[in-house]
Amino acid sequence: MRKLPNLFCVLLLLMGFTVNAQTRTIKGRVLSGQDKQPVPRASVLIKGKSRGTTTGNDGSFSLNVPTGDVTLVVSFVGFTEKEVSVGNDETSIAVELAPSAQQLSDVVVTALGVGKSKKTLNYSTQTVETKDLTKARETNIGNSLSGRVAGLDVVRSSQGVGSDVRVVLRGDRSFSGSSEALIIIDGIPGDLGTLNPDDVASMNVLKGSSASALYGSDAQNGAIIITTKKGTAGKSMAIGINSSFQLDKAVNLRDFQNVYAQGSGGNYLADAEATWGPKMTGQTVKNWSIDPKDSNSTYALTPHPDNYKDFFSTGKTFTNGVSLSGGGEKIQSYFSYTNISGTGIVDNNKFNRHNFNFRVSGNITDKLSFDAKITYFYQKADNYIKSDEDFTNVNRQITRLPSNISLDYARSHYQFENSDQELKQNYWHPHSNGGENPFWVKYNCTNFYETNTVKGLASLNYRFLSSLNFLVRVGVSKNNDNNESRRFFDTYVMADNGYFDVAYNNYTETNTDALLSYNKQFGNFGIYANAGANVKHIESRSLESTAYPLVNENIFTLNNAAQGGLSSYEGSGKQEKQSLYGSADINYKNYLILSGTARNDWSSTLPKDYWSYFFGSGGLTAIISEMVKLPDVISLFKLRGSIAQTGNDAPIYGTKEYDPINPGGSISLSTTKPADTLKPEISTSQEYGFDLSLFKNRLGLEFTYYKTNSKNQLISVATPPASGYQSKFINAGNVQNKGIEITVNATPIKTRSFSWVASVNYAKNDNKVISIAPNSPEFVLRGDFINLTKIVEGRPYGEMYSRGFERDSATGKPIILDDGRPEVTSGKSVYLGNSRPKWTGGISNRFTYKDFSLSILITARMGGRITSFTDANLDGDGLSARTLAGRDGFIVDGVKADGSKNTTSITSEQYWNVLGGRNTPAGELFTYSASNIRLRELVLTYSLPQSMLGRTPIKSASISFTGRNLFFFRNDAKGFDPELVVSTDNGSIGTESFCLPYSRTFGLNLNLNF
Amino acid sequence: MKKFISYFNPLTVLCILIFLSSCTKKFEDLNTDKTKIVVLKGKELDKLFTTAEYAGITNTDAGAGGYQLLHSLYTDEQAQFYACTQPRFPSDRNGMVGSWLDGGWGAFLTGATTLASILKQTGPTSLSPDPERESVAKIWKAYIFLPMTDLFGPIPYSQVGSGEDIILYDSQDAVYADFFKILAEATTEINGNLARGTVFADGDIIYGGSLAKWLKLGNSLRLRCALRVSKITPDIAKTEAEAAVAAGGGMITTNGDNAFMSPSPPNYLNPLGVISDWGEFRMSASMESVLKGYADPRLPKFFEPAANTGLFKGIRNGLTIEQMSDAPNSPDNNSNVVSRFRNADMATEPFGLFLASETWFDLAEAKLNGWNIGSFTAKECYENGIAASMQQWGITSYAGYIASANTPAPYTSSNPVYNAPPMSNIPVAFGTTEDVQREQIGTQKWLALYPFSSPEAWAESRRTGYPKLYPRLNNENPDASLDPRSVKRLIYPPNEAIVNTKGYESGVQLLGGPDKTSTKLWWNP
Repeated sequence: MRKLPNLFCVLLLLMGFTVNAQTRTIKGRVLSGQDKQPVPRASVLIKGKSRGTTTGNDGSFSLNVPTGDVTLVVSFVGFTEKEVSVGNDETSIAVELAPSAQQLSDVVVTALGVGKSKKTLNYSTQTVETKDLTKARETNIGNSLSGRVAGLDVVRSSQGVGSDVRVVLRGDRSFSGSSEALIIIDGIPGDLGTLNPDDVASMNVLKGSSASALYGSDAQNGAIIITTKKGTAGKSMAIGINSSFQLDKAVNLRDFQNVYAQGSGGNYLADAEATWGPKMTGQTVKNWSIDPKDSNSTYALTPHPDNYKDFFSTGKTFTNGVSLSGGGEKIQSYFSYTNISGTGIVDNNKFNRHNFNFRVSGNITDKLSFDAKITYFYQKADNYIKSDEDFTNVNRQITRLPSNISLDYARSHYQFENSDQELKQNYWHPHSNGGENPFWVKYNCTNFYETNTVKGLASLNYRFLSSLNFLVRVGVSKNNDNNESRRFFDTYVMADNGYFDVAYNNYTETNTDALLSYNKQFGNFGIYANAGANVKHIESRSLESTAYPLVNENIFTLNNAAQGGLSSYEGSGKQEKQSLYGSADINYKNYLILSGTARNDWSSTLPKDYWSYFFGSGGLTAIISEMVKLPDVISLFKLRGSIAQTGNDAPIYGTKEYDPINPGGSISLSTTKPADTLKPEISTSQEYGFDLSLFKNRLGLEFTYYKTNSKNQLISVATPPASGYQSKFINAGNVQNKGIEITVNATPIKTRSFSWVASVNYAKNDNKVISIAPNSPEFVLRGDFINLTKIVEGRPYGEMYSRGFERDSATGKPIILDDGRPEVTSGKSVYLGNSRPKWTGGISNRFTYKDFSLSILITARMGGRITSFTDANLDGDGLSARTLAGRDGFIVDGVKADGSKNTTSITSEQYWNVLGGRNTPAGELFTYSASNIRLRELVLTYSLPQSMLGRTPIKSASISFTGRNLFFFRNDAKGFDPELVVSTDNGSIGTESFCLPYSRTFGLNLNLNF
Repeated sequence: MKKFISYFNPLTVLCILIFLSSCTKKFEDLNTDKTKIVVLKGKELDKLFTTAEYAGITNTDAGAGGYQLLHSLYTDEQAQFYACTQPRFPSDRNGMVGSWLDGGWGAFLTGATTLASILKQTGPTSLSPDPERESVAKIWKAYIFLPMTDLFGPIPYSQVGSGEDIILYDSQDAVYADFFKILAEATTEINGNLARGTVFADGDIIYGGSLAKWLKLGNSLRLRCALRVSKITPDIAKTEAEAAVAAGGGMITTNGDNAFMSPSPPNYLNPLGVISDWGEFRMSASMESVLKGYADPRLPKFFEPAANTGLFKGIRNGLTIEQMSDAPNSPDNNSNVVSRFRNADMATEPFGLFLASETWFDLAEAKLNGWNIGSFTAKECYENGIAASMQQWGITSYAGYIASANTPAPYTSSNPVYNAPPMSNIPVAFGTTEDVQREQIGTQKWLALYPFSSPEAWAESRRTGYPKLYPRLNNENPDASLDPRSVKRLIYPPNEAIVNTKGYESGVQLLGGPDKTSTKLWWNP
């Protein structure tokens, strides 16, 4: 913060300069006639003189003209050129440009918040239509992007409402860091999870690093640039109300068996977790309840086929938002508030969120304008769902419920009080290592999460010449969150004597920017240049304390920890990055545009000799259709190409060896060997493509080929444990992603009352790990009970291996042991495939008939494999329908060690005991293609016609019926949704492990504008 | 205008540069984590020794992961202290699970490399040499590396902690030769400087730093090592054993000198206590046969009655998953370790490392070997060993036991398919032939090592063939069989072949046979 005075000093100095007007000055603003949005960098020339200016980001300009009447020629690509005569006494004008019929007119927000005409760009971008984001709502806007943008891949984690979302553009490239796209909100790094969709004015995806090179290291994975709404000048107060109600319905895709009861070898066992028992025929058996009140009680064995379905309830989400916008010429303001409250499909998983946004912008003087914004975000989630192997993951426990157990009985008997007035868990297998009563977990192993984020943004813009603009901006983002976990006494294995954990995290990021822009037209040549500086300072603190075990039963406070049972973990981090950057676009006649960017970063996380690193980009755009006369059918034909390099710094504290202090004061040695020659990562990317628009823009095609090489990656590679380190930091590796992206936009039908607009996108990414590190042909991303997910030299990112059949080399058939059971490989040596999709695509259609519109989004995520650890457990315990075959014996198709055909019969229990289960399952049998095509979104909107609203204060009103994730056209994984994964980290894509069931969302949305 | 621009650009750039350059000064400080130690010094070394002690026995964390993977899942089952009741665990059927071996190996090496750092910082070439601290660390080094070489054979030893990318292995004979060397050096050094009293202070959670007690542990350990090589290098064995017995400071012969590790919650707990409530193992049929047949008063001290029946009951090793589902084999129908060692989340019971009873049984065997151990007869040593073990478990009346003619009992199950006659007919009372005496010593030492020291019990079982254990009911390892001694070693952790390829290859070469469980170790006859 102490740099600020310096910046203001510069600003004040600059403001001190005034230019003596030799002539009179005309001020004005250029707007698009279509949507009244400002047109930045439009050319404003004095007719008859090759002198003029260009408009700023807000469309405004100021021009010195000779005294007397003049005519200004205002032009911009995509719009019809317009001549405006200005009388001698006029000092201020507004010019509206009509979009030219032949050309695309979209202005997109690029790096540094600079609006540019899309057709001038030398890289691929895609603007996301924000209309539907506020109707078929997702609590994390990242989910809404799925299938809308070519080359953008989205998966989400399984924690119930408010789960993490992973957004990756053009494939994974980082070994141990993030491959996720940078999110920029109003010029400042932000995140999608805290964003209110109602506030989004525009969302633009910059896919390659050419587009984002100006953001430097953070944007090497591409960037999503979001601009939020501002108040609009000259309008009366506008009020918007948006309400929606959504229902989430869990769908059971799994096929459970409902024939056999708990037990083994056909015999009933009340305490078995597996269901290899007898057929359920209503026979009377011993009750499983261990409550002494139920001792000696019995019940009839009957199947309960709806247990899984009935466990989940209908999730409900209410969203209510209001926005106010308005202002005069000097000051405009925008305010919005949105509340989302909901209940997940596990009905004690509750969620509440408040978004406040207040923005004021305006002009202090003719030259000085300001923009200030403050947002407050609060979110809390009760009982969010634990994922994966965690025994307190409620989904883990409900999936493993034997069919002979009544869900209602399990619910009404999940706990009891013993004679010592202690609360005990009631479960069919007391003290199980892995099993708990699902209702015990649901109600007695609970988690709480709360987060607060305040963001402040202030910027001052001084336009001291029509061609020269100076901006200073400060953004502070402060986040506090806290997390609590409780486990009652008698939670088997996890907390026999209770557990309480509380964690607080505090994160502050400050960004200070100064940006100078120069913008000038010289005859046929135009130049637009930026120079800027940024300081990004991050401080974080965290404190986590765990009380385990506890003394007094089920009192959750840290002081209740047993002697020696309190441990605390602290984290603290400070880092800073300073940058200088610049960019320039030079255009010739607005059809040949040469662009370049350069940036130098200094990062505190690198060793001293490597603090500073430089990178840049360059590109060329040629609008052929304006250079030469093409057939009339072609409205636009443009070629583009660019090359960029971006650098990335290191994780914090990677340059020294640190010995941690354990609770109680004992000391451990650092397990990571630091690298004193840590260099910044360098990612080089190139992309080439063309844009073609035909039939007066009724049909558009964009094609891009790209290739990215991420080198010098900072990775921590495994070292021999005997060396004293488990890993060391090195610079190594080369991950290559190349692929193509195709977007087709079409308006097949357009009449007065009916229109059909379609958009298709397709992206194919080929990933190859060219090298990892000397002596390290492999790098493990994740190892769990079932799989090893690795990066392997010469192979694509994210290869999966597991156990499988030992196979006869001659026939390829499983080798069968003497007792008839197949032999399983001892290590995870069987290749299962790659976890990443081969291609992704989406088709969206919007049909409008009079006041109705229907939009349908179908998405495809094809290729890639996913392993279901859930299936391994269900099959291993005889819970799935797949285990019904062979219950009375069958012969595994395979050969014996001597090569002869196997003839020994085994039961399905013996077979699945070898291949399934928790600890050493053969993943080969539980791995599926992750390909899926689904009806992602459907929105039907009815807008009330103006004739009905004419006399009311309502300007517009609409009602929409929405649906998300409605059904699969194809889902190779059958039993689960392959896009719902354990967690969003690099190694977990491709692993389904007790994730929540697939759910459909239906909603109703009401939108009113006054 | 021109004038203006010419002013403007240099000025801005200058200002920006000033505000930037003023800040990189802080970078170094920003990038330093102040919650951790960068350079260890002084008494911090004591607290580092605590980690070397806990992690040295693969107990790296409160979850006892490393201990479960190597001790519980391999040595406890191979020594037949327990039999496995967890359906998904193949190790009791001799199955090798790579990830478990990786985990156990890594946990041990956390301790071993921490110890290497202490040796480096106290050794003669360090900035502040400290021969007594170094000597205690040397004794601990021999103590923790011994079970590892006996599990795998050649292991990383002399290069441990070097920080290099390749760690070559040492042959098992070289490792043993170094044990004898460092134990001799350390005990001599300590014996000459006992006046110093203690080192490492409360950082030593075994003996509180008492040099006199570490000296006894060093001497006793030297005898343990000597016996192990008594068949392959009998001369060295005799020399080392006699030197150990004659060394100044004596051996651990009374329970007051026993080496026990004191847990310090929350991060270091008694690892057996942590894992024993998970229902993964129960008393083995071999334990039941011997303890019940001998009417051993330690039975209720070792185990607790089965939850369902109130009876002491064990199960056969090597059950299939289906056999585990058979009611007589269910955990609740069988005996778990006694409740003292069953307290998952607050296991603070001290963990035994070296007990007086073992020294007496070692002396008894040395005597039968014809080595000079002083005036004790083999019988006296044997009986003193039993007495020390009884006293250690709080049993005062055991004279009748020592004289007892009871023999191991047959194993019976409510499902007769598991039934088996006793494996041995030797009584407790010391026999008259050397073969019987050796078996009796082996059997009683096996009982005395329970429940802490299964790595030692398994090594001795492979070396001596005692005690006689029940065959496993099933085997799923193509290089092993139902014979309870068919597994001669554990295979190397598969991760070694990936992250330390050259080291792994050096180990296999030194092993002198394939990296299989059937390849015998150097000392194994």
